[in-house]
Amino acid sequence: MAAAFIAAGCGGADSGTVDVLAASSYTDVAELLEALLEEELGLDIEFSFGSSGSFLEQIRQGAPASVVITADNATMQRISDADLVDSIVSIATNELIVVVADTSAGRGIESVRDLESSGVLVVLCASSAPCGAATDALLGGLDLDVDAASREPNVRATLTKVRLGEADAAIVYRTDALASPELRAVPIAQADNVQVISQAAAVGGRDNALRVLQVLTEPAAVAILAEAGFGSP
Amino acid sequence: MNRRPPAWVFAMAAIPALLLGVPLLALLWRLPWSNLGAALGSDAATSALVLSLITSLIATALCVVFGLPLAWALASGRGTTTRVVRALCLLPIVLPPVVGGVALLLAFGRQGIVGQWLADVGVQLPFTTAGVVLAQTFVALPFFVLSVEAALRQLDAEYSDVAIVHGASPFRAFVSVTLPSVGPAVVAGAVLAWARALGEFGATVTFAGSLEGRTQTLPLAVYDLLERDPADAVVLSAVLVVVAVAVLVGLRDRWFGIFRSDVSS
Repeated sequence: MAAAFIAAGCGGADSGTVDVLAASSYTDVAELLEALLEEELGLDIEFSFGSSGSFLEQIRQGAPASVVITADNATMQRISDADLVDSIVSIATNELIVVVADTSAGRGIESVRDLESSGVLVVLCASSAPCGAATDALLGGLDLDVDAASREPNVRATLTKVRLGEADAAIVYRTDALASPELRAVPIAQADNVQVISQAAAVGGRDNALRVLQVLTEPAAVAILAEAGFGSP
Repeated sequence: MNRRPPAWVFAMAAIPALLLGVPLLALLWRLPWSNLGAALGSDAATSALVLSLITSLIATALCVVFGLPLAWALASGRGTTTRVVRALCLLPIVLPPVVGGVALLLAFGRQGIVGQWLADVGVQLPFTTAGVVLAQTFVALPFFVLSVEAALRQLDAEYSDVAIVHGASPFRAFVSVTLPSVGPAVVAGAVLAWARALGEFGATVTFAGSLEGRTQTLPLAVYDLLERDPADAVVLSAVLVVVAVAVLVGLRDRWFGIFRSDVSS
């Protein structure tokens, strides 16, 4: 039984399954990408999600991923510096946007500058996550000092706090705002100053990874990503 | 039960012992001794340490103050209510903490069934240090209550009956006769509850969020550091290990009646 257990655990690398470790902003678009990849390649594709910041350690510790997709290029650079990936391609861009809940304080928010006012409960991504790093850069550039109630571990956790109505507003990716139509999105005029470039790469020594990367840059995948609100790099 | 087990039992026993021991040794082995001071002295680490100590101690105090009456009531009860409440007490032990956090949000969050009334009177629990204490109390309370209740049930009721016959009120008899005899269980329960509160992660991050100095306790700081500076995360993890070991060693003989090795001989 132990042998079967171990065999099942390692199946990803050599059987038909290709594991893709993706940033949490890909949660909603993954199903479509998965279907496309499976159709084009005839392989079993399995997406799993997490905070990009945790990927370096996960891959180093042998996470069964053939392809890794990070939310930003800085994170990919760190993974690349550790000699864990190759064949990096930029697959999409994203930018930051404010989402607000239908609460009394939330309704009053018209611009990112309103996040500074007291009485507005704001949650932001942790600085260790790509969305948090981008948020810090954006707010720094705007010379805004937002007093966050919480710095959540990843962008989805940040979004969830607003969806539950526990926070009035959050700064998330445009794609996350599109994925939650019940929330009002307030664009940030200067958001394109902080372009977040999402990248994919093959994890060293894994089969089929290059074929997945190839499909991810083809028009069909680009169209799926554009539909979800990603920009093209 | 004093006969020595056969050799293969020891061989089998070594596997789980290693499973428990090796990860802890690995943590200490990989400890970056050279920047120990810098890692512990950083703002994030110090504030997480202080916050964790304060919140876990308050949570433990709440567990004792409210857990003692609950344990007493449970130990004296026989009916359906007792069984239902005891099941409620077990639930947080079995439940994934993150589910506990979601449940706390739905109850005490701003839009929660209790929380919206609290919000009306200006009380906010999510994203506050009080929210951290609440989450810790939620997960730690069962350890205290079950430990004390078990001790109370084993106790011979005769002694407190004698006290009552001699004119003491039931409360007085409980405090002066019953409580001293279950003292070790109270302390052991409190220490277990404290350790559980100190290590709380899932319910805290879900219900109270994570903000340095306000809601980012040690385990949350470890998780955050793991993505920024894994070496510092190892240092903070080691702190939690050292605290845990110190508690077990320090209180072993004096208080941990239920863990004592000679208890069955």
